[in-house]
Amino acid sequence: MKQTVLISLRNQEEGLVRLIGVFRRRGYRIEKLSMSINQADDMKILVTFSCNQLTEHQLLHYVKKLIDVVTVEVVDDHSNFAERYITAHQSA
Amino acid sequence: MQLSGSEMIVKCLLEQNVDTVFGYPGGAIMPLYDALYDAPIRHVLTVHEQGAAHAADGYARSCGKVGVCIATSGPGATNLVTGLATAFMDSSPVVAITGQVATSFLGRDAFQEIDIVGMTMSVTKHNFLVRDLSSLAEIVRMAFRIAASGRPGPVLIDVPRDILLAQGEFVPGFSFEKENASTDVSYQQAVISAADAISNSERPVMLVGGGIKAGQTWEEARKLADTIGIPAVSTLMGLGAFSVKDAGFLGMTGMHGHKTANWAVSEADVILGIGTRFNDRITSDCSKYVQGKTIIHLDVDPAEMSKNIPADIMIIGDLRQTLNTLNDLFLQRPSVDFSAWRKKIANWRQEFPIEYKASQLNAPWMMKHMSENIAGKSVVWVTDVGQHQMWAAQHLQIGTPREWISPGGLGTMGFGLPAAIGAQIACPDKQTVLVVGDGGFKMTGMELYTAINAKLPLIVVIINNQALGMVRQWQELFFQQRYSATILSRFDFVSFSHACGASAVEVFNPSEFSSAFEQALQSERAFVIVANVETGDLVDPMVSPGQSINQFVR
Repeated sequence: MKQTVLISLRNQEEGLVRLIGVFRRRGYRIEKLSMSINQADDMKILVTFSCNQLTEHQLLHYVKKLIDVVTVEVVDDHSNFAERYITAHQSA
Repeated sequence: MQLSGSEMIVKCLLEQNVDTVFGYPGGAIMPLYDALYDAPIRHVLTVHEQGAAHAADGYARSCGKVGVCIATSGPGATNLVTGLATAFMDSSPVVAITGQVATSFLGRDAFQEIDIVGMTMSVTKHNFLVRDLSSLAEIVRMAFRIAASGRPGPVLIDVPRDILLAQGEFVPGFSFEKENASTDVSYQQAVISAADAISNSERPVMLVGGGIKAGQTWEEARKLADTIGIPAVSTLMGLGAFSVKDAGFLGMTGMHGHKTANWAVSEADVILGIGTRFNDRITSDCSKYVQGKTIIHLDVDPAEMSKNIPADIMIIGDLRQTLNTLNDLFLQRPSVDFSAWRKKIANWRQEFPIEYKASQLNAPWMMKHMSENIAGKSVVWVTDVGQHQMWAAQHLQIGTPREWISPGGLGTMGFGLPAAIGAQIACPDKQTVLVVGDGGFKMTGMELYTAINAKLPLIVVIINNQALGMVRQWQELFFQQRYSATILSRFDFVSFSHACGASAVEVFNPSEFSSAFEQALQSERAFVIVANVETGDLVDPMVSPGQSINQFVR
């Protein structure tokens, strides 16, 4: 099963590495990733990864535990959503 | 107020009521050591940075305050990693401050430059590289807040040398945000479901883990067990939350758990797991573990829910609040009769008595002897990792929560001695006794010199079986007695201890041990007892790996 999440993160230098590290350490495979930083220095990251339903919840908990992470939302689809969303975020 | 970065760190440490730090100086961290020179903070110089990290961890576990360790950049910082990982796995609040090369050198592979923030991301709760002086004080305050709040853990702050030296405006302040108690509907419903499940059960068991100690909620857990009349068992990390003298406490459960405790867990229809992550050493085969049981899981960390075993009822939040709410609920309900269950447990207790042999020197007898002879004195027992750790967990008469310090999660050999130093410094009015194997003692044994310099009346009991005993035990049972790399040649621990400045005596039988321990209790400086035991002594009981926890190899 594939799942896509939209993560909002404070734009600390280590934030992205920390986030990706959680996926790697916990054994999740990232299939797609888009990111943007807006003028207010918020970072939005859209990640599609493979998992099963039980482990999806687990991963979300691990991601939420990261101090830099502000919000995590499960979204429907990556490809249709990403371009539009990321463009909108950058110009915000 | 204009201060240097180093002076700001010292001010922030004082704001947090830090009285002791453990560390080792070096090039990049020198400005901070200069500021510490005049500061009203005790600095304990260890032999190795790993010792500083374990000592800070031992300090934190024994008194509940945040432990602090300091190291320089490069190798100083990398030497902290094992200690931080140990603290991380056992949720111990530690703040590590490392020096870093100056910001202008970052990323150039400068002398003693290492990306310690990158390296420690997976073994810290959070970490910081300080990039400008203006954020330094707030980062230090935040580090303490993160280390101590929610599920505690280690936090590392990496500070470049130029920031330690730069001058800037320091605004005193102390901020602490308390996490809000849970009040949402799903939480309330989960608590009621948990109470219902216990009320409708016939054979409930409370399983307490290290989270009870981290959350300082042992009183609430004991009260709840008493109100419900539910028997309790403990993980290795939870030992001390209940006293071994509590009538309803059945002992440690898990791979080397007491047989009564393991049987009770196996036969239970409800497990009330509090502050435990249902680690593989506790559950053995997960599918067999949960069979026929309702699992209620209480934890502050949502990521622990259904991580290792699926929980039927999950209650996420502050343990104190949950335990009190449950207790209030049960006080309003008619009491449940668990007498048939208690009778069954009493039968197991009779069937599996704990027996001691005093015919020759052996670790279980020594644990019992020490417990009896130290009675009345406040004590902190510290262990390393291996057979001695299990003997200590099984046979010491642990009565209070901060009395037991053991590196359960990471299983770090070499933790014991420096952690015991930290504990003895944090609790000068208590007697710290380290129980350690001969292999683990050798790993960080030079810290005995630290104990002498710090004038600590530490008692060290080396269970000397001239082997890496736990690995050897597995080789005996599962690797056809092929003792690959586990048999050690004789080492003169007494001369070594004398060289460090400690008193030491070697014993071979119970009466020699008895008088040595009496001498050690009177000693004002570190006292080492080298207790020679048979190489072939094995830890009993032992659950067959991959089986139910009531199926024992021995």
